[in-house]
Amino acid sequence: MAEVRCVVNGELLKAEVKDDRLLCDFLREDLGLLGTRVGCREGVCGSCNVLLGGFPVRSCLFLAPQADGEQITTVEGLSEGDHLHPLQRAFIDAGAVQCGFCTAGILITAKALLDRNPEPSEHEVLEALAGNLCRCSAYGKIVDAIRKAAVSSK
Amino acid sequence: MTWAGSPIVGSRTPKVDAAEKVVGTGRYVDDLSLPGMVYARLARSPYPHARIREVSTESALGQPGVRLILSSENLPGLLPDLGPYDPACHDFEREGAVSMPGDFRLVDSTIRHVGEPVAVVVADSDGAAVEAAATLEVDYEPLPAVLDVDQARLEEAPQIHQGAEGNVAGNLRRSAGDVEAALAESEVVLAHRFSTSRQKQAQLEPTCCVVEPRRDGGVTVWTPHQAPHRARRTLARMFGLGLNSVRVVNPLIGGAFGKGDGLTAEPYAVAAALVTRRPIKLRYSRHEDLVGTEARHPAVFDLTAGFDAKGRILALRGRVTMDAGAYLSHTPRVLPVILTQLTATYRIPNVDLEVTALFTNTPVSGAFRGYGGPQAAFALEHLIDLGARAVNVDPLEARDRMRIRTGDSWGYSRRPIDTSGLEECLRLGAEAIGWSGHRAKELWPRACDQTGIRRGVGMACVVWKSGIAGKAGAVDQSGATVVVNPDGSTLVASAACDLGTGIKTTLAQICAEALGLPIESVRVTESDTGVTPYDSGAHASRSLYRAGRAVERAALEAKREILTYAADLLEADPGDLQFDGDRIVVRGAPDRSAALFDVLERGFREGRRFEGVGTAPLENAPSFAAQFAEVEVDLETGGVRVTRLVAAQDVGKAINPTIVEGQIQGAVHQGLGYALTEDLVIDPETGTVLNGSFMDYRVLTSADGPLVETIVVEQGDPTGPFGAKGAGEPSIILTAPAVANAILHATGASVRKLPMTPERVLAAIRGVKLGGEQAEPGALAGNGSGTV
Repeated sequence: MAEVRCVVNGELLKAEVKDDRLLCDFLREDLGLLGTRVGCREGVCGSCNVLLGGFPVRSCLFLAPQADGEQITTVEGLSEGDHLHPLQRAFIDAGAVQCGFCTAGILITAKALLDRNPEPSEHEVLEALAGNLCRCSAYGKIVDAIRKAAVSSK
Repeated sequence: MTWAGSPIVGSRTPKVDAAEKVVGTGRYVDDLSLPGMVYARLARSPYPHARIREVSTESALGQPGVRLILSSENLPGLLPDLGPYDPACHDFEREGAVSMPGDFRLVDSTIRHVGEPVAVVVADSDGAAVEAAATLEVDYEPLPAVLDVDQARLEEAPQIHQGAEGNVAGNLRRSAGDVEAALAESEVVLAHRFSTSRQKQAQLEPTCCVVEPRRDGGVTVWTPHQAPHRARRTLARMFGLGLNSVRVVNPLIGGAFGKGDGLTAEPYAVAAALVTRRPIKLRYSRHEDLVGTEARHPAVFDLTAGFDAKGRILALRGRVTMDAGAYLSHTPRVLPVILTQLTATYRIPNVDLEVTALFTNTPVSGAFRGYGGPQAAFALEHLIDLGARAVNVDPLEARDRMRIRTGDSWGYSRRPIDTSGLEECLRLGAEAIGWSGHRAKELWPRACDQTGIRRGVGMACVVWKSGIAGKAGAVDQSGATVVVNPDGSTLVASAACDLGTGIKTTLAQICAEALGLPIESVRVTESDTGVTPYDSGAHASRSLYRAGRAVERAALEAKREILTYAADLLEADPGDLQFDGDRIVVRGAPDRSAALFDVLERGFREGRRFEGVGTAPLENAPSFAAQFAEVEVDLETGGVRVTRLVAAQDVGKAINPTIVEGQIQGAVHQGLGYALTEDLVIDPETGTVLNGSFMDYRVLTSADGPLVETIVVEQGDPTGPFGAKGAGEPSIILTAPAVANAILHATGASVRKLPMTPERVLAAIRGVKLGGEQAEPGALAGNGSGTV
């Protein structure tokens, strides 16, 4: 067992976890943060992306003990109460959500992108998203949404 | 609230489920937990064909937390009524509801493909179930296996199913005219083989289901199934339960694309729940999802076509062999689609076609968006370009000369085609891609012995359908109820499944528009067999056309009820009343009106019910699409970069243009994967899937293709809700042939095997360079003489 102290969506918490507990299972099953989706458990699809210290990581490739001392943001941490993050608003408005299973991971990747690059080009958005599969292939609308969110957050 | 001053149908209303999906509160099946729930996992066979001698459960049952192992040894004793079933959930639709050779049996004692479940392991935790399933000791007696269709048809091939002589899973022929005579008269006769791949839906949500046993001996099943009512009938039938004892409910669905148009984990979880009397969650890993759920049928087309000097097909002879995989499932339904689609789009006077499906000891083939369409289109549409090239005709013109037109009969309905947007799709798509400019350049390929990058454009088109009404043996039903509550809020009960397609949103739009009430007041129920009328499910581009019509009719009936009652109150003729914002007014007499809420509340107190029930009439509507691709081919590596994709589609009426664009874009991108990378590869020695992971099965990413350009054409069909017809599938059908034709245009090389990997493209280019089978003096400068 390992002790994990971390900040998840702004909240400091402490937990005992098994040494081999995956971060995605820790978030979903131990903390009840079910918004993080698990699509492959092999680090390819990006559905389970969360921000760890501001960078998007595959929570299925991270062990929960590795989150010790870290700041984690999941999709639940993007909005504040009823106040949606500009990316979330833009995803709704642009029709960027189809089945929605990839959406949380893509929002996380997009947030990391906009945090570093507030005005990405279409090409930069497409490159940034290359690690997130969307099998509904809503990429056109997703790019629109991310670029609109970039403008509206200015 | 926005009152219906402006039309709701045709507006870009945000999707009703988008908010819960972006904040993460939406619940997919794996997010559900029930009190006392335990976990099931499946143990799977490593052999393609084997008899099970013994399942040794002792050591697995000794592992901590393991409760139960169901296998062919104990299941018949525990569930004696358990029968065979059709995973496609069509068994109850068959004449006499009989079982057929190739139907499935839960944990049978004979195994017919690698990855077939041999046992259900139930444990207190998912981890314990995974561990026990992985280490379960099974003693197999391996049997000789048939790993492809060529082996399957050999006389000495082992027979995979009793009753399926020669491993034939299905066979259909169609002939018309005199093919021999027409071939003799043709300007050019071409004969080619085309092969398509085993594409996987690869929906992002891994297969999972949750089952709760009920006190009446029945079960409630939460599953991302695409047709809860069909699932209910097949589950009830196989477990010997009444329909009221099986309730099937959709949570949010994380993509499906055909994977959920049949049973996967559900029967195993139901069996485990019935035996343990505990709620069960059964998950598949991504690997299990790829190898243990059904894929698109691989097919081989041997086609011979005679073309006239204008590039029209005079005669088509075809022998098509589909790989059904190890079980029957959807094969009897996909097979006629392949046959029909070879002749649906064009007037071909002389045909002699035979499609045969063969069983093999490989993973089962089944439903995938397009359902036979992509296979047929790849072969036929590429053949058309080869023919047009041989007679030196623009392939777009060749198609335009032979395409079917309004007034023609059509493959899926006796009703002739009323309206067709095909011409518009062809024209607008060609303009958008700059067809005439591209093709007039006679193009980049002067001689094919150079290195470097070549560009080309190619296209394809198709006539498709809206549902399966009119198809032999098919049941295509949609019902809906609409209830207007006293506060004006409205509940639509429909089992049309939202796979991410936005159907719950478009149904709400149709209801709001038909009623004249704001969209915000309308809610569409979950797809829950406990509260919805029968619906055949989300497949075959049917949901909007069929369920939309049912909702429209139900809403109009509810509206009639309201207006009839209001007419009494206002002492007017119901025909003179209309909705005007939140009031009901007498036409031409604006002073005579009543507040809608007053009418509804008063009616409620008097026992009036403002409800409607609707069903969709048994109609089908043709839909049309054309697609254009621009490619760059690297002559040294065979690499293909698709630089533009223009998809034009006639959807009748875009109830929600944003959703329609999303459907088209998604279909094309999946079609691009079919064209370039996707194929579940089976080891010819062992029958094992060699690329059963997302790392190895290559789904395209955002960086792999161009953003798809969409052109939405609206030639309304008189039988569709507000003119709408099917929209989900046509565009996935056309990408592979459009890309193949663009490669042909760019290089003179014909790639007739999917996916068009760099190796295959390079081999085809070298064939041109070496003056091999594709010897032509160079692209469009062809001399018109064909090869037989």
